[in-house]
Amino acid sequence: MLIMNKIIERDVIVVGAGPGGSTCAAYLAREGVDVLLMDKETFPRDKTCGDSQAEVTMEHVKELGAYEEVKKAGYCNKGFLLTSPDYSKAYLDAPGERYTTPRRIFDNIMKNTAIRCGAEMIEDCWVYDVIKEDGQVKGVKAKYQGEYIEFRSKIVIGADGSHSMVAKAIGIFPDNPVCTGAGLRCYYENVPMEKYLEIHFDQNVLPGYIWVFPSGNREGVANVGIGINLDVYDSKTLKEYIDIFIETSPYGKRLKDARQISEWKGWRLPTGPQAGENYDAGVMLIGDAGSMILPLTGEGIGPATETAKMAADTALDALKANDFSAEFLKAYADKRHDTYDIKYKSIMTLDDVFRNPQNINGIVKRYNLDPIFKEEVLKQMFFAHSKK
Amino acid sequence: MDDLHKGIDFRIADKTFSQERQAVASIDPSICINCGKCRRICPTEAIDEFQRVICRLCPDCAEGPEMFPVQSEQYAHEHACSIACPLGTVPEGYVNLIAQEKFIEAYELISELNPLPAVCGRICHHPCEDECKRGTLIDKTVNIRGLKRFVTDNVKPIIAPFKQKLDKKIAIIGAGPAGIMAAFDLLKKGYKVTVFEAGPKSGGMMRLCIPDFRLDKEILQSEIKTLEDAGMDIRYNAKIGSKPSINDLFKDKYSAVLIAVGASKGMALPIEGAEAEKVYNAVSLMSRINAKIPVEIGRKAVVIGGGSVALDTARTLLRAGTEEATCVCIEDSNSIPAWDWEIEEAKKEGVEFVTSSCPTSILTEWVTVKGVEFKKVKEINCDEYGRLKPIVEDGTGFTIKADTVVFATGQKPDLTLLAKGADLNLNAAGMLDYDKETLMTEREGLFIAGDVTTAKGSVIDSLASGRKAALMIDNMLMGRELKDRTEHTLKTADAKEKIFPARLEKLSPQIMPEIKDRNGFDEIEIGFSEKQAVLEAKRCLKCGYENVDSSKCIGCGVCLTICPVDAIMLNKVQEGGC
Repeated sequence: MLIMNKIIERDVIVVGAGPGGSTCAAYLAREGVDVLLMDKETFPRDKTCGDSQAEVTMEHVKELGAYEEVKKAGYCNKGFLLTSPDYSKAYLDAPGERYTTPRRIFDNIMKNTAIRCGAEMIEDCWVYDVIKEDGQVKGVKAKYQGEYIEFRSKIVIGADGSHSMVAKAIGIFPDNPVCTGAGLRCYYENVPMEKYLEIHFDQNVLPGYIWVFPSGNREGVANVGIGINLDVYDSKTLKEYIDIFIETSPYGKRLKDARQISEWKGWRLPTGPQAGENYDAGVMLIGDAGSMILPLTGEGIGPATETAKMAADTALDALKANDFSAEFLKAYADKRHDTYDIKYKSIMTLDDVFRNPQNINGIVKRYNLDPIFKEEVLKQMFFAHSKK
Repeated sequence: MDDLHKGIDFRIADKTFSQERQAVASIDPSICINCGKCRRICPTEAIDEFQRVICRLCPDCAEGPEMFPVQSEQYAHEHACSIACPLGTVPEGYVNLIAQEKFIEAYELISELNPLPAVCGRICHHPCEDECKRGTLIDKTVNIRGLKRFVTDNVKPIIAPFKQKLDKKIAIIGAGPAGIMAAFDLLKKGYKVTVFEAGPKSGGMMRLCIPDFRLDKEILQSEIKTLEDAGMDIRYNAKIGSKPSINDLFKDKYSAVLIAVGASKGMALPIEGAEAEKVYNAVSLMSRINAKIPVEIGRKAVVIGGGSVALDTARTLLRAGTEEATCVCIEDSNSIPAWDWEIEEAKKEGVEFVTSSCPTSILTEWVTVKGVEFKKVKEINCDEYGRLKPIVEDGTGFTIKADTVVFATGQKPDLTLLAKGADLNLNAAGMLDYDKETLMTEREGLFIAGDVTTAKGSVIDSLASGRKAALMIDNMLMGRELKDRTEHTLKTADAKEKIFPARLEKLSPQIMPEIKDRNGFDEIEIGFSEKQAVLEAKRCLKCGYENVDSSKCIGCGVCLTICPVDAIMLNKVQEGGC
């Protein structure tokens, strides 16, 4: 029986069954941990995103046995195609296998993977607070099947996305406009594309950029979107930027002949440099809930699955040691800092560079002319993301 | 808390004091329900209302408009239910007490500022709902009025008896909303107050003009009885005019007199045929129907006017036996003066609307009405007293067939005798001149409130006018200049308090049950059930909370004692704090 006296007890509760939450729950369940994965939505469900599963993500997908499913549902892309404000192109061929799978499908695959690994999953369960006793998080408060229930656990993993309730409840919810973006996305069909994830640093859109990603297993379906930092988001709406891109850019024009097949949807994109210590006694935050999105590229699934694994490892150690104190869980933050701090540093330098159109023009030009420079850029872009 | 100094200078009622303080108050925003009690009582005005920013970045997470971050921040402190109410009610307080199922506390909070909560729970035009951020930014406004009604329907009224603490006497002429409100506030301050009502029953225009299907007069009666039981002295059939006059009241040692007689004289337009049979003015027609006195009406009625009274009259006529009722107004279809929800309701019940049309004559056969002739309105001008002067277009005449005509073209106060008995003259518009700041007429100690002023004429506006008059009378008698603490400005809350629609509990708006049979005079709205009320109250976004400015707080602790949810703490100030 799941519910007894409106209190449910588990070893670990993972709030949110996006790629981060599902990956984390899968790793824990695989080790025999009594883990409850919960989500406020009913799956499958959409999420505003570029749909890209980079190499790091695919490692976890493979490790957890979801490779065949993703391969079937996703689009295998070669890497990035950047265009500069003067409309020059640069092809960035990425190593390894990379897919783009619509989140509606990908997240469902990952959720099912977690269940297959042994995690218990409940949907339509809205978490509104954490249970805190003597400074220690001891579970979450949620509304489930119309009842307000307490779910108790030794560890809570906050994987509830960019508006994280868990983060808010424990007072670790950064909202710095310089490190937070707004995104808008929809799907088009009949879009002629090469096998690359296109990133357009359009002169009319900077300092934001527009992406056109082939997504899913149907040829010609494009995930089109825009991301912009909130500190400069004050004159044109995201949709207006998109319209300008379609009207003026040689890369935007093809969308006129294409067919829009979904509504424009937006989302908040909290990026890594603002992330504080994503843990406290009895609780760890992963993915967007911990502001883990990479700046500039806006990649969120990779860091979500990576931090999911880190948090799962720390949780396993904590369960073994039966120690759920903040001091013990600091191990998670240490791993995160080791992996990401240097990355943020170099990306933030690039971020500044990429706010200036002349810089981008120059970089793309040199990239195409100078093989040594090209190699360096590729290293920075891709190899930094893979394991050291 | 490193900015806390022990010594503090502070001002109360324009006087500066210095004091050593032992403690400073702080409010937990996660517990605070923004009732505003602490803000209103704080002697040093150290408490401000903060409004949380609502994120509206994305087009799809809510139905409301998208906003840039800067716009959202500005919107936060420019709009809120709490600054919309002319009476200073902060709806969030009682709405959240309802969400917590604390209905008695909710009633106490409502009745602290409003002597007629059950009446307002039915007929207030709810400016608070128009400003509700759930309504403007997310989906649908919280039904605040419905929640107020729920509380008054389900909690037995409790008002502490008024205690006389001062020996000064105040006379209030008129027991309508403005008079009752002023009496309520002055009684709470401890004055001896006498209300002189010309008629046999109180309530003024609320009783005379508002139809029973919107406000059951039993409700009005019982609210006034509660006030009378608590010690409000209302003298009925006591018309103040020539004998006794206002001069007589002053002679009788009343320190102040408030004229709140309302605008009870219906006006007819001076057009041909206005003296025919079955031509009425709305006030006299409505007061007769409300008093259950038979009135002769025909089958096809034209109501001239497009305000709330006109619509109420048309809907009443349909219930009283008219087969067709048409409201004709000079304004165009986008600016009919009645509230949108009133227009919607009226249309639902079959009221027809003809706009941009001005009546030129009533067509009669001897004394029987046959129709009304109209001309199209080109533009509307306005004179110095705010009276509308429509300009009609030649050659646009048309006739609407009718056998009954009702003028709902505004009401006027009848002040001739009152003014004479106070040695004052009326101005060209037939009104008393007065100071807009103090509401005092040219005669010292004689104030006016409600429809006698040029203020807006809804019930809540009249109540607010009565409240202002009470404050001004008190200020004059006490020789001080207290500010109206119900009026306040808002501050934008810190980013960490931001509200994200994506985080909200999924709750649909509750639908107010209504009666099906609209042929009778029973109240249309039935009112929320307890379950509905709690669910509706939970929809409140909790945009506001109160916050202590520690540089102004003297640590007196008064706020602590009145907080209904224990959100306030006193923090000790350390010796020699930096």
